[in-house]
Amino acid sequence: MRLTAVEVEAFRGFAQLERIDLDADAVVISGVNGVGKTSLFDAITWATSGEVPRLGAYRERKNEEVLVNRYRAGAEARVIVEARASNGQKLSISRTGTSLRGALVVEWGEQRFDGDAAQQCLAEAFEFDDHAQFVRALTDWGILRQDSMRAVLDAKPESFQDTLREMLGLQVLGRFEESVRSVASESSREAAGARANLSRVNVSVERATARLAAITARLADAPGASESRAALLSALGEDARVSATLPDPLGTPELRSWLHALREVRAEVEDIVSVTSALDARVRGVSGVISPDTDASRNAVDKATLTVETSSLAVAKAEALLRTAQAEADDRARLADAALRLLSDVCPVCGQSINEDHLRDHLQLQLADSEAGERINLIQREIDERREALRSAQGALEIAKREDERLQAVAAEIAAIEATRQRIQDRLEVLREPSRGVTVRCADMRREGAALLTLLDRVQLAAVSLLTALEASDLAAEEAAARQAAQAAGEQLTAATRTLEISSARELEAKSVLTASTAAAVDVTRDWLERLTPYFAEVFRRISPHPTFGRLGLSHDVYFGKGRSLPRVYDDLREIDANPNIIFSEGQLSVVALSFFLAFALFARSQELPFVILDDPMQFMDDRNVLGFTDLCRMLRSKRQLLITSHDQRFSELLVRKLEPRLPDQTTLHLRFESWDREGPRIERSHLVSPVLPFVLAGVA
Amino acid sequence: MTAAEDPLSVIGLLAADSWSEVGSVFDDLAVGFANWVSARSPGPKRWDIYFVALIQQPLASDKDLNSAEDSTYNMNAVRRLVRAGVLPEAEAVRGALAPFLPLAIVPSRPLGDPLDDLIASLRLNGVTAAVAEGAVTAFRTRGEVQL
Repeated sequence: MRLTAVEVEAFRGFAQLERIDLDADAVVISGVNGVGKTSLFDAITWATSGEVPRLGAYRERKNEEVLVNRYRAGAEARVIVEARASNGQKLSISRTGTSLRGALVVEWGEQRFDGDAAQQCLAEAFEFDDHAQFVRALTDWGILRQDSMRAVLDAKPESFQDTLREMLGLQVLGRFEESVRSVASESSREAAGARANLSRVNVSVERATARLAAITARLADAPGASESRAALLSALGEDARVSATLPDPLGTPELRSWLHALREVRAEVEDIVSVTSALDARVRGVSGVISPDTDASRNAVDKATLTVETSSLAVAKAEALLRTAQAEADDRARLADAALRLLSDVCPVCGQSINEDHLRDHLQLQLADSEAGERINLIQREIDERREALRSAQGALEIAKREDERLQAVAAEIAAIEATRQRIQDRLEVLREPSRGVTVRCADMRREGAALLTLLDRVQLAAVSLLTALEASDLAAEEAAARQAAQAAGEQLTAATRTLEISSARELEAKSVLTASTAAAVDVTRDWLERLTPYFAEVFRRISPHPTFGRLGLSHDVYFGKGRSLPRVYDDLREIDANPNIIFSEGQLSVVALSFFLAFALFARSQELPFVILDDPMQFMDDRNVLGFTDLCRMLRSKRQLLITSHDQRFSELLVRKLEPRLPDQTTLHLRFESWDREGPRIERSHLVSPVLPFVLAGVA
Repeated sequence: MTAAEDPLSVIGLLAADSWSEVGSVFDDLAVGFANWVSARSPGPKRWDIYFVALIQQPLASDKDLNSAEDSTYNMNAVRRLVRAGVLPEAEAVRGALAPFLPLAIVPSRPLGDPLDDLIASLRLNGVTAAVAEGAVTAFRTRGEVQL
């Protein structure tokens, strides 16, 4: 397959329709910068792939139009690429549209296709499986732009291999590895879930086993149920009142509830018996007192109180008389005392000396013996009598009060006894309810209470015995259920263990495959790159841009679990190697980039493009490297249709000279992009003829 | 010295054991060869005259290295190539004269489907054949691995 022509209109630098012949095995395109050389390659790229990837980065907006010629605004770009297969069959690839939408039409021989069918036809015409593969080959190694290959070289070490992988179509290895990683993660989650489940099931098994053991132990100690039932009925038979309360049917919960009620009744009866006994004692305490006359005792108290009050009044009255008599006596004494102080030491009458103390005693004696003194004494005796009467009245009052209090207390006790008796009656009324079944009168309680308690005790004992027996029979069912549960838990344990074994095995296998996948991806990539290394080296050696580092290759290692490849150049004489990015000049690095690109373009895949487009590959090279490169191009044209541009006049002339046809089947086309104006490039075309060159050395001995 | 010619080039070949034997006369010999060819009316081939030194010893000293580099950057009349460390063996000589030979490298093993290579590599990394093939087949057909 060879590209034979391109028609371009309203596309990039081409405003007007331009048909450009490409029907040669070497096409040299020369011209200064900005005259439309790159637009021509963009046209080929767009027509065949539907995009121009390099322009994507320059868009200011997503919907910015970047393909339609600026002087043909509103028009649609149109590019037709024509090619011819080795059997002569013609291929026409026509795309019309804008950068936002385009319509592809492919004519392959007599057939015409559009849409997806056109893409598939295009891929198959170039012997690719699908259009995506064809586009990847075209953009990765069909068209070399110096900057894109240098970008690969300039990439960080860890991404260099990724780029090479992508160019080799080995990204499928990465996708495989990711898919295995996903499976490994999923299997790890499953295994973790299975481990957690096994742990839960283990706990269930332990619980079920422990429960079964406990029930089995209780079951071993349980008495027979039928004997216990008969014993209960027998005990109940003695008292129909209580037996009537027995629930029917009589299951364990009913019996347990009934027994609880029975215990309450028993406690109540016991309390009532106790209270009744205490009441009897109290009744005995007030026996004989039919109806205490508390009114009479109250009257007696009132009467005694009145007597005390009267006596007190009489005493007070006598005491007042006494105080009056004593006051009179005191007045006389003071008068006598004043008279004594008026006396001289000598009697004026007799002239004898007067003894005052003797006279004072005498006067007091006279006063005491006087009528006033007698009266005082009389009053004093009366007071004493009345006081005696008062004490007597007070004693009588005290006795009356005590009697009254006693009778009041007896009356209160009788009332309390009556109240207690009423409360007992009320409690017995409660016990008489159908659910309790105890009908005893309060009056009979003293006689029947003890027997009733004995009966209740006996019934209670039989009920407990029956309850134990019933629980024992429930235990048997419970034990069967527990045994079943333990067995089910055991089966769950077996299943969970098996699930965990399977999950763990899967997890282990997935991890193992993941580790192997990572290693295998590294190995395959390394193997592929090592198989390509001779081609890198071959291209590099032909140009030989460095005096000592004469061999190009790749080094491989695994860095943080990821395969890594780095370009290396080797000085075999001194056995030194280095990363060319670090030690090479720009021109020398251009040769390195070109070596990788051409190796990929020529040898990388079984599905290869029939052409190689080199867009200004010599721009950083010095003269010697340019000469080496042009020598390489002379060999390259026999492998691929070669389309090569240069903006440098000198290099263009060199290319034209070097790529002149020298063999009968070679054709060379020189497209000279002379200038550019608003209509598009001005292109001079010249077919270089194959001169008949005699051998210079012919005839030389 | 030997002269050779094909449709693309006229080549003068000078073989020596070391660069020091021929370094001092290499440029003169190259110009002499160019003049000799030019005198025979080479036509367009006047641009395709090469003079190649095949030196058996490597260029060990910086002096020889600089001298040889200077010669190859001298493009007066003829394209000079100095190939040092070339043993007198066919393969070594073919490598030294590679610029004049077609690109005819045949891959030792063609690069085919990487997933086929992946299966082999998985097995080498300890994965059983059944698992490796099953995983890759599932990936091929369904786009995802199944284990």
